[in-house]
Amino acid sequence: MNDLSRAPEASSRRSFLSLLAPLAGRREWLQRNAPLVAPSAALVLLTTLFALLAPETFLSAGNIRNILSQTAVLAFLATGVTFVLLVGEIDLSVANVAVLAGMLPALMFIGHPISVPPFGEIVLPGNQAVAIGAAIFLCGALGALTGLLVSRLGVPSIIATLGVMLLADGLSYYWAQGLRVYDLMPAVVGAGSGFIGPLPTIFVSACAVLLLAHVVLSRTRFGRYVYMTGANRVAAQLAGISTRRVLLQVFIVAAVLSALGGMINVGRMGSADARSGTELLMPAIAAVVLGGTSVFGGVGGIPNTVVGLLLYGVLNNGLDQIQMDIYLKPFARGGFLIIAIVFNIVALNLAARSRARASEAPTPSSSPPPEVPEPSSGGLSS
Amino acid sequence: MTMTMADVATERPTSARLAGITKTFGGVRALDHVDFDARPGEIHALVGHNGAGKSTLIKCLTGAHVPDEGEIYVHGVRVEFQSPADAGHAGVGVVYQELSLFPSLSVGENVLGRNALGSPWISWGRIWHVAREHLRAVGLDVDPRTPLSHLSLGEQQLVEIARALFSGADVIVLDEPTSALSPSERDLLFATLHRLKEEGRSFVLVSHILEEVIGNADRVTVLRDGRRVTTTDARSTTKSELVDLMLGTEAQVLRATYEGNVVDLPAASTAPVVLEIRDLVWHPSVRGVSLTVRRGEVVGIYGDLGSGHFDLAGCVFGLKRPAEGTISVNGDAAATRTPTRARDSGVAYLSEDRRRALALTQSVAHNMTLASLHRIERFFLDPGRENAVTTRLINELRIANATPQRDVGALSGGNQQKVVLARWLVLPPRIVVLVEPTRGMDVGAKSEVMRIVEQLKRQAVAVLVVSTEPETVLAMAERVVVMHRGQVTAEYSACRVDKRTLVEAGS
Repeated sequence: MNDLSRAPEASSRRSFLSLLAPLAGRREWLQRNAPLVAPSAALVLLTTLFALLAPETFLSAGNIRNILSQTAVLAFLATGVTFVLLVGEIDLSVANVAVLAGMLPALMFIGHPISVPPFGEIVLPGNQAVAIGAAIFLCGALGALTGLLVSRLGVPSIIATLGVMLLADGLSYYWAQGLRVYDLMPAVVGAGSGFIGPLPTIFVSACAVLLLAHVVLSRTRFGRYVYMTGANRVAAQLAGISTRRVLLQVFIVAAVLSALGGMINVGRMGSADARSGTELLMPAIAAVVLGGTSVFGGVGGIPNTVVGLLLYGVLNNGLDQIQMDIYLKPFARGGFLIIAIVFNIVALNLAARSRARASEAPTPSSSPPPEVPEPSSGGLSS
Repeated sequence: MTMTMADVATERPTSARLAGITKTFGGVRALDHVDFDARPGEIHALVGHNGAGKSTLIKCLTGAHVPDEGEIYVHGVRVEFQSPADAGHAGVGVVYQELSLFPSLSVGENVLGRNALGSPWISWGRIWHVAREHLRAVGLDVDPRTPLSHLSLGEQQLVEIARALFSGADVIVLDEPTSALSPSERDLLFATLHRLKEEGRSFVLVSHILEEVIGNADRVTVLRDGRRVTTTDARSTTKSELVDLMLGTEAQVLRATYEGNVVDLPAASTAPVVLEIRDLVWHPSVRGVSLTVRRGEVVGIYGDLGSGHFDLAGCVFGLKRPAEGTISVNGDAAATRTPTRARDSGVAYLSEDRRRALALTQSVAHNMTLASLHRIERFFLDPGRENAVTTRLINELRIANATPQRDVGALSGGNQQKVVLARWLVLPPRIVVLVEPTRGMDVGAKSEVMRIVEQLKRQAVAVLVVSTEPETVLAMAERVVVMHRGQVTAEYSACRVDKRTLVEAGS
C-alpha cells in the first residue's frame, strides 16, 4: 500500500517541502524543526485569513490584547498538559483542579467553613497566604495521587485523571454549597486583573510561567528525563532512570500549574464559583496538540505550546470577528481545528519520511535495498 | 513427469517436500539449493548452528518467505506460497517460538482462531464443542471457556498445536517449541506429538536441544551455512556426531571454526569478588545459578536462547526480581533491587535488543548521557559540557556518521550499539553486563567492542559477556560458564577450550 502511494505523490510533496526550504535556508533544519514549523505556518495562514476577512477588527490593538488575555489562563493549564503529553500520558483533571484551586481560597478568605468530615471544619477568614497555600498543597496532593495511580499501579492516565477530575469537581461542589464568591482576596484580584505597566499582569505571569517551564524542560536534568521517558520508557529504565518518579513529578507539576491558573482565572472573572472554568479542559489539550507536541511523548515542548496557544486563540477569536451566521460558528470552529491538526500531521509525516530516506542513504542497512528506484530528486536539487 | 521421478527418488510418499530451495537476502545466500521433506507419520528434525538457515527454510515452507529458486510440493502437488495463509490452506501449519495466541481470549476462541465456523453468526455452543474436541486431540483436558492466560506456557503450546490441527494442517512446523518449557511440560508435548504422528501427521521440529532431537525425531537434517549437510536416521546418531556435522568436518572448515576458536584460558583470577550470585532462581528460566565475578575479570556465559542466561543478566541489573537467591555487588545484597539502584551501585547493562535501549527520535548526545546525566551535570544542564563528553566518546569509539545533535535513529545498527555502550563508559561502572554485545555487527565493529572490553578489564572493571554465540564468548572471556535449561552445566578456566566443547555442553 505504501509503495503504491509513494512514487507519484512523494515527489509532489517533496516539491511542496522544497517551496518552504528557502524560508529556512536548509532542508535539514526544516526536517528537524518540522514539529514547530508546521504549526507556525498554520498560525501565519490563519492570522492572514482572519485579517483579510475582518480587516477592521481582527488586528486592532484591543482585539490582540483580548486574544492574549483570553489565552493567558489557558497558558497555565496548557503548560501542565505539555509536561504530561511529553512523558506520553494525558491529564483530564487540569480544568477541575484549576476550579478547585480558585474556589477553595475564595471560600476560606470570606470565612466560609471548609468541612473536612472526620476532622471537623476549617474556618480561617482573612488569611491570604494560608488560603493560597492550602489550595496549592491540596492540588499538588491530587497530582501526586494521579502520579501514584499511574506510575505504581499502572492505571491508564486517561482513567486515573478522569477519577481525579471528578474528585476535584466534587470537592469544589461540596465546599461551595452553591455559593458564588464575589468578595475576592486582593492577591487574586491583582494577579487576575491588574496591570504591570501597560501589560495585563495575567499576560506577564503567563509568559513567566511559559519561560520557566521552557528552561526546566530544555535545560534541566528533570526536563531531559521527561523527554527521554516519553520518547522510550523502556530505554530510560534500561539506563537506570526511575521513570516512576518522573511520572509522579510530572503529574504534580501539572496539578500545581493548573492550580495557579485557576486562581488567576478567578481574579480575571471577578468571582469564584464551582462551575466556571471547567470548560478549559479541551482547549488546554487542543492548544498543546495543535502546537505539535506529540500525544505519544518525547516530541514537542513549550515553544510548540506557545504557537498552539496562539493558534487556538486566533481560531477562537477570529470567527467572532467575521460576518457569519452565529449559529454556524461552533461548526466552523470544529472544521478549522481539524484542518489545522491535519496540516500539522501531514507536515510531520513528510518530515519523518524524508528523514528516514536521508538516513538510509549514507549507511547501507542489512535489509535489501528497495526495488523501486529513487524518483529523481530534481525538485530539490534544482 | 518430474513429480513421478521425484517420488521414485524419495521412495516414500511425502506430505511436504522442498526441492532445491535457494534464498538470497541482500547478496547473502541464506539457503543454497536445499532439499527437505516430511513424510506422513514422522517427526523430522532440523538442526544447525545460528545462521545456518533453519528459520529461512521453515519460512519458505510456511509461506513467510518466497524462495528465489526451487520447488515446493504438498502431497506431491506443486504449490507456490505467497503468504502464510496460502500455506495454511494447503495444510501446512506452524507453531512459532514466540506464541501467537491471544492471552485475553478464551482457550476455545484461540483454537478456532480466525477460522470461522462457516457462518457469520457465532454459535458459542458449537465453538466450545469443536474446541473441546481439538483440545482432547492434543491431550489437553481444559474447559475451552478458560482464559488462555490461565494456562501454563506448555499448555499454551498445545493450544497452538490444536489450532493448527483445527485449521486442517497435517504438516506442522514447530520452531524451538521447548525453549520455554519445564521438563514435565516438554514430556507432555512430545507424548502428544508421538500420538498425533501415529495418526499420520508430519512434524518438522526445529530445535537447539540435541538430546530431544535424538530422543524424539525419526530423521534429522543438518544445515550448515545455508546448505544441507546430511539427512540421517535420528535414532542411530549421537549428539557428538550432530555437533560435528553442524560445525563442519572438512579441513578448511575445521581450521576456520575449531582452531580459530581454540582458546587457552588463563588460571582463575584471585582479585576480590565484585559480583556474587548465589542460588538464583527466576521463574521459569533460571533454576539455581551461582556465579562470582572478580575485579578485572571477563566472564563469558554461553547458552542457547532457552538457557536462561538473558534472564540471569536481567536480574543482575534489577530488571527482574529473583524468586530465590541473592545477588550482591561488593557485598551489598540490596544493590540490584531496581535498575536505578543497580546503576548507582556501578552495574552497567547492555540489553540484547538495542532498539529497546535507545530513544530513536532523540539525539546521539541525549541517548549517550542518559545513564550518567546525574554525574556529569548538575540540576541545570550545561550543553557545552554534554557536547564535549559526547564528542569525546564518538571519537574514542569511532562511531561513524555521528554528531552529538544527530538523531540516533539515523545511525546504522552497529553504531547504535556503540552509543548504548558509550552511555555506560562515562560513569565509570564496576560491573558491565553485556548481552549479545556483537550480534549482527560486522568484523570491524566486533573488534571495536572487543577493544572496549579489553580496556574495561585494564581499568579493573568486572565484565559479564552473555551470548548465544560461542565465538563471542570465546573471543572476549577469560573464564567461560555454560548454561543449559536454567542451570550452569560447565565451567572452563585454566584450560584449552573450543567452540565445539561449548556447543556440546550447552545442548
